[in-house]
Amino acid sequence: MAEPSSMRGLWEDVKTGRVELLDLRPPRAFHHDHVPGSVSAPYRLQGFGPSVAAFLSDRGGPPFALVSDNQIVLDAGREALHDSGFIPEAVLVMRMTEWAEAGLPSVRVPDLSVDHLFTERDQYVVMDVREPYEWRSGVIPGALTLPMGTVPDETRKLDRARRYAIVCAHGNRSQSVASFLADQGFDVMNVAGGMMAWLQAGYPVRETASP
Amino acid sequence: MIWASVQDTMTGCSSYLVGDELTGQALVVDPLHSKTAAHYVLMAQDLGLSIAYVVDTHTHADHESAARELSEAAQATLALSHRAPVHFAYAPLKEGDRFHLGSVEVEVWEMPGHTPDSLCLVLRDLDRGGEPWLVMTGDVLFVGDVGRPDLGESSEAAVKEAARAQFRSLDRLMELPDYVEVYPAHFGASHCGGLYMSRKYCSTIGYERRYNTLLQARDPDRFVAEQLKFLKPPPENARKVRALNLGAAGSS
Repeated sequence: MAEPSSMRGLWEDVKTGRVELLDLRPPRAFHHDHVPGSVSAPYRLQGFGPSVAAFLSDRGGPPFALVSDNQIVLDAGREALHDSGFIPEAVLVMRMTEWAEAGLPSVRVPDLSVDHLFTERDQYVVMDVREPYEWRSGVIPGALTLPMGTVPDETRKLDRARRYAIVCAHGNRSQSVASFLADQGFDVMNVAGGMMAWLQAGYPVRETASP
Repeated sequence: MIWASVQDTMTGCSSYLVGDELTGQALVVDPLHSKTAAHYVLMAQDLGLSIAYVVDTHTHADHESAARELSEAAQATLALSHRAPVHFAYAPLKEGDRFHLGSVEVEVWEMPGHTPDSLCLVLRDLDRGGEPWLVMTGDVLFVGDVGRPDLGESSEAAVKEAARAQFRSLDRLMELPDYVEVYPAHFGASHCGGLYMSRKYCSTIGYERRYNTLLQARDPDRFVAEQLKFLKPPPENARKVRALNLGAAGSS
């Protein structure tokens, strides 16, 4: 159990930009629910230390903190960074439910099932973030096609009054895009299972879409 | 379905990690103390999963289980047969129970024989189809062999009764279609099997149906006689290991 006081202290440091908060949980868990302004740095058995060290070096080696929902993962991440010459200012094992219970804010991206999307499709703007070669398998009728890499430049054109359903092939890239947009205050949901689930369920697509 | 296995080649033990892409939930079956609980936590994390359930297919007598330690480290539900004679709290599994990790469905079969609390777990990927894809057979069925009947109670009558129960459990496994994959808890030179155990750690129902010597005995008496022919001394420390896994007072 994380102490509410340590969570509040951490939030104060993250909010004011004094520390960079690295979240070691798997990407899925992070994109689902995370501390505003935190960075997803999922612990991996290979290459975690050097890649995070490079990220921190690029940012001029700011003070940083590590968070995970598991002590073993946190210890492994800390050790890998230590081997790369980086020592966190703080580490905390906590669950996002504890964070919310302490009254602290989070960025959430709910999952949306393909069944729900199909029946409620007039409630959403569907944004397909796959690469152009993937459109051959079919695109959801009416979807915007914005390959993942183009999304940051296109956010100006998005309508903050609408609700976006982000879709990709399996629901992984769309999760990253959805949490990127959620961080900026957009109302987004992630289509769980992506086009794989949409096609398997037999829902309609337009063939060979060119934008 | 996300699938990974962890083997200890020294002891011939297998353990399995199954996950679901959408929910990120994972189940670990028969985790090995020799591999450490941390190994499974980090492996799940590496696959982008969080461990939600830990199951032992039965109370092991040959190796120390990491199930309790892992369920604590991962804050996961520890689930065992309702017949497990252990001295700690767990979620009881009964015949026919089904639980889900997203689209992965786990069905519990009670399969007494090797031990009274032996389970097989029949897995389906509901995204792909309603038929079973694989079965984790614990110490009921091995590749080329079956689980020995004498590690619970060792009196002759008890061993014979256990062998008879094992016959019925194997008969039931053979109701599964040929293509269903078989993942036992042991392979190679493990103490829990007999003469014919393969060093290969997985098989299919169809292959075992055709080529597993012990499955060729089609009546219970012949099967029991076959099993008794291959009995061997219990593994070293069996009593102590079993007591450790039961969480018995003073066992550690």
